[in-house]
Amino acid sequence: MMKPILELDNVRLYFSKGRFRTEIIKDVSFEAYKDEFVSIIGPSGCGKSSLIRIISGLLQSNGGEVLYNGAEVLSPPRGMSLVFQDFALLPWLTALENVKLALSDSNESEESKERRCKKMLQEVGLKGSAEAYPKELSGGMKQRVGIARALVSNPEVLLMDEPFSSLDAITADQLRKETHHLLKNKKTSVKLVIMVSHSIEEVIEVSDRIIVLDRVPTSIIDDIYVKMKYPRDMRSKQYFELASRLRKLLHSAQS
Amino acid sequence: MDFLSALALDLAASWTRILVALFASIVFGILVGIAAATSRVLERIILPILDILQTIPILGFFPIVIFLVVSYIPGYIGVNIAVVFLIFTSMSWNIAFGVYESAKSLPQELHEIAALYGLSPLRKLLRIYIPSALPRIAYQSTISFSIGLFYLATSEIFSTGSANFAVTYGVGIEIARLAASAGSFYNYLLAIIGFVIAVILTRVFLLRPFSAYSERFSLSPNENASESAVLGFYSLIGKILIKPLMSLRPRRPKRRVVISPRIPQAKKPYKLVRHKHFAHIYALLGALVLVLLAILLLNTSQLGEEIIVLNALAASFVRVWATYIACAAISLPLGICIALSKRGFEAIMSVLQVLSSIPAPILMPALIALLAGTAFFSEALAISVIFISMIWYILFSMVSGMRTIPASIFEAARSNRLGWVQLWRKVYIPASLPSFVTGSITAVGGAWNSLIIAEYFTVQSNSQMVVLGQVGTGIGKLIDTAVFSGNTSLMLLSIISMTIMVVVVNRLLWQKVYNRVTTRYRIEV
Repeated sequence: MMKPILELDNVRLYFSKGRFRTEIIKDVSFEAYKDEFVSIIGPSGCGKSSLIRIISGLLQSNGGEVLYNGAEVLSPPRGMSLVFQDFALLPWLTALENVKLALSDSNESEESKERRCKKMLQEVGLKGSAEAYPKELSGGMKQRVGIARALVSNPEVLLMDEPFSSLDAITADQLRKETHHLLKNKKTSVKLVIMVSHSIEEVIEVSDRIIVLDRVPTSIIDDIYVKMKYPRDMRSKQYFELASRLRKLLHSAQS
Repeated sequence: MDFLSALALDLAASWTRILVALFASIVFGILVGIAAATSRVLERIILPILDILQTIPILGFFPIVIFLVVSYIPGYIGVNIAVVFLIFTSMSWNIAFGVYESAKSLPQELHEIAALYGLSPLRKLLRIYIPSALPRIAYQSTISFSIGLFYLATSEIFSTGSANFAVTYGVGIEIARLAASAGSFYNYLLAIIGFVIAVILTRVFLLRPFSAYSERFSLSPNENASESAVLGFYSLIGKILIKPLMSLRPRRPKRRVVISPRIPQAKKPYKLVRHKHFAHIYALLGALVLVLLAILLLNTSQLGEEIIVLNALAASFVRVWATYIACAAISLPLGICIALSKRGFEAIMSVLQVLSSIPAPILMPALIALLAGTAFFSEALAISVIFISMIWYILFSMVSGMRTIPASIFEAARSNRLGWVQLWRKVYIPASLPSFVTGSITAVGGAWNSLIIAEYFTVQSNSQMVVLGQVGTGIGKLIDTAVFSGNTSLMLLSIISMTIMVVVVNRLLWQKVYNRVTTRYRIEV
C-alpha cells in the first residue's frame, strides 16, 4: 500500500470570542496520495479557507493533526506552497521580485535564483512582464505571478485557495485550463494538488477526487473519485450526473 | 472649596469649551463642506483655505487671536471666545474635508433620484447630503476631539502665562497652578485621572453612540461597525421621552437613505488636496503674505529683528526634526509590532488610547519634576513635549492603516518562509510606509503647534509670572515673549515666517514623499 503524502486526522477548529465559542470545523479526516488533484468544495462560509490554511501550516487547529510525509505540520513546511484567492502580491515588488520571494530560504546564487524565476514566469505565460509591478498587471496576469511564485520553489504539494474566483469568467476558464495542463503534464515538481473551490463546473473540470464539506460546523459529507477522461466533456452523461449529484449535496448542506 | 469640587468645576469649564467648539465645527463643516462640494466657484475658494488651515501651525496664531479678541472684548468672555475659537479652528477643517469628500463621492444614482422626485435644494440637503455625510462626520469628530484636547490644554495653559488673558476655570489652569508648585503631587494625579475619566466618558456617552448611530446612514457595507450599548439606552430614553413629541414631527431623518455597495473611501485624518487647480489662489495668498512681510520689515523699529526670527526658526527647525527622527526610529518598529500583535491587541490599544488622551502639556508638571536638575533642562523639557505630541499620531495612523492590509499579504510571507530580516525589509516596513508617512505629516504639524508651550512655559503664581522652562532660542519662545511684551511686529513676523516655513516644507518635502509612498506602497483592498 502506498504511503499518503498528506494525512488529516480528526482536524478540529473553533474560534472563541470571550465566553462564546464557535465551532468551525467539527471533524475532517482524509488522506491524499501522489498524483491526485483533490478539490474541496462546500457551501460558502463552511471553513474551506480555514481548512487549507491549517493544511499549509498557517493556522493551528484546535485538535487532531495534519501529517505531511509522516511529520506533523506546525508551521509552513518546505515542499508545500499556497496560491491565494486575492493573489497576495506585494505591490512594491516587481513580478520577478515577487516570485523570488519564494526562494528567500534557499542558498542558491542570486543568478541562478533569477534564472529560475524568469523561466517560471515564462512557463506561466508572462515572458515580457518580469519587471512590471502588480498594479500594472491585469487580474489574470497577477494570478499567473501568484502561480509562478508557488511553483518556483519546486513544491511537492500545491495548495490553492479559490485561485480563480477573483477573475472574470473567461479569464478564469483559460487560466484554469492552462494551470491544469501544466500540472497534469508533469512539467513541474508537484505531486499533489489540493484546491478549494465553490464552483461545481470548476471542480469537475480539473479534479481526480472531490471532497464535499457540510456547512459549519463542518465535516466531510462525500468523497468522490472522478474517473472521467481529460479534457472533460460538458455534454457527457457522466458530467451531467456528477454535476447534479454535487448540486444536490451542496443544496442539502446549505439549507 | 476643596480640591475635588474645584477640579470638577475646571473640567466642566474645559468640556463646555471643547463641546461648544465641536458642535460649532460640525455645523461649520456641514455648511462649508457641502457648499464646496456643490459649487465649483466656492470649491475653488474653500479648498485652498482648508488646505492651508490644516497645514499651518494654528496654535501659533493663538497669541494674535487672544490679543485681538481681548482688546475688543475684555474680560473672561473675550478670553473664552478666543479659546473656543482656537479649538474650533483646529477641529473644523478636518470635519469640513470629511463632509466635502463624502458629498463629492455621492453615488450618481442619488443625484438621479433627487432629480426624478424633484427634491428642492433644501430637501436634498436634509435628505441626501447631510445623512450620507454623517458617518464621515462621526469619524472625523472622534479625531477632531483628540486634536481638540491638545489645543484645549495648550490654550488654557498658555492663557495663564499672562494675567490679562487668563481663563478663570479649566483643567489647564489647574495643571499650570500645580506646576508652579502651588499644589500637591496627589492633586496633580487626581487632575490627570479626572481628565482621563472625562475623556473616556465623552467617548462612551457621546462619540461612540454618535458613530454607531451614523453607521445606519453608511453607503458602504461596514464590517467593523462600531457597537455601542449606550446607543440602545439612548434610543430607549428617546422613545420614552420623545414619543409624545413625535406626533408633532411626522418624519425623522432616521431611516436609511440608500443601501448601495460602494467602494469605501480611504479614511485618513490628513488630506493632500490636488493643487494644480488652485495655483492662482496660492499665488495670491503668497503675494499677500510677501506684501505683509515687506510692510512689517519696513515698519520695524529695531532693524535686525529678522535675524532674531531666522535664528529662532532655525533652532526650532533642528529641534523639531531631530525629535521627529528619534520619534520615527522608535515608533516605526513599535507601530508595526502593535499592529501585527494578535493576542493582547485589544488590551494594548485600550491602554494606548487612555495614555494618548492625555495631551503633552498636561504632563508638563510631571516632566518638570522628572527632568529637574538635569543639564539642558529646558531643552530636555521642550524635546519631551514635542516627542509626546508626535508619537501618538504616528502610532495610531500606523495601527489603523496596517489593520486594513489583507491578511493574505502576511500569510504569503509566512508560507514562503521568509527570514525575519527579509520579512521586515520586504514586507513589514514597506507595508507600513503609507500610514507611517500620513502619521508623520500630522505629527510634525502637531510638533510645530506644541512649540508655543514646549519652548516657553510660564505660569502665574501669586500674580507673578514664573518662567518654568525656556529654551535658548526658538520660534515658539519668540512668539510667546513678543506677545507677553506686546511687541506686535515681532509677533507677526515670527508667526508669518513660521507659517511660510511649514507650508514650504509641506510642499517641497511631504507632498513628494506622500505621493511617492502612496503610489508605490499602498495596497489596494
